[in-house]
Amino acid sequence: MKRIHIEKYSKNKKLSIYTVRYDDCVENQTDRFLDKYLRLGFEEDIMMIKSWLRNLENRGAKEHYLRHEKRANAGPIRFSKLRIYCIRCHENLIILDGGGEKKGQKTQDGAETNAAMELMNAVDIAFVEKIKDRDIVYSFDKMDLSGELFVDIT
Amino acid sequence: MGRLDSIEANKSISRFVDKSFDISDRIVEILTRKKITQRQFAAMLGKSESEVSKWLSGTHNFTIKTIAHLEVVLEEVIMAVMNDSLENNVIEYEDKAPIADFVDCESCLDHLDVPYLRTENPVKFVEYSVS
Repeated sequence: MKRIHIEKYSKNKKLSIYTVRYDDCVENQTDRFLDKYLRLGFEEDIMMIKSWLRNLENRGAKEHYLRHEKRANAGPIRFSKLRIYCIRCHENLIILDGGGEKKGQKTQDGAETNAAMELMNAVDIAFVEKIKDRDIVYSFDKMDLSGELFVDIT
Repeated sequence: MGRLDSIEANKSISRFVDKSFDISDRIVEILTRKKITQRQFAAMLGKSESEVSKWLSGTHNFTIKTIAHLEVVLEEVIMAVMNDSLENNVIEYEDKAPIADFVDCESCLDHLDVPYLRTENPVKFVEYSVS
């Protein structure tokens, strides 16, 4: 059983971004992903992801901007050699994970992309249960989460 | 925004990504207004739905050739290049009833308060959709 914390990453007019952090880690998964791939020399791809996220913040996380990966979502669909995973709760709130380098056409082709996708699918299942049980609730404008901001996954 | 804030933005990359999103949003806006589904759009172009889905993701590097083809198929301007006369920004329709009143370029563009869009001597009128 692993406990995953859901933490606020940023909030803008059209999009709130939350991220996930393992209970035994100080750093969240998004920053770990960014640090790792900056160290590995993927500066341009990271800048693309930064610009991509800025556009989601300015325009909202519209469904057609994201690729479906089972219950989770991923982006950027093109441009970058890297892919980052998230849960799109609705147009104005996403929960962001890390990701990895694309190794082929399918997410499953890369160990890191596959792990990130599986993590987000597991988090989504547990998150939805918490929403149903009202252990986690949306704010009135749906842009903030409150309550037990963690999920336990196997 | 966490670690992302400490990463210096590259203006060229930002502009490239912004423009790609603009193009995708423009296509989606046209499809929505004309009530064309993604599936119908794919069929109109002879492409697969998954290919069209990638185009609409905001992260596709369109070629000028593709944009020109989409403009012909959709009968709408998707991307316009600014020039002195603005002539290229007008598209002619064969059988369409007017969808908006003609608007004075000068006042319309100046109203946007974007300096580089201001016209010193407007030479013609441009049709703007109000929908």
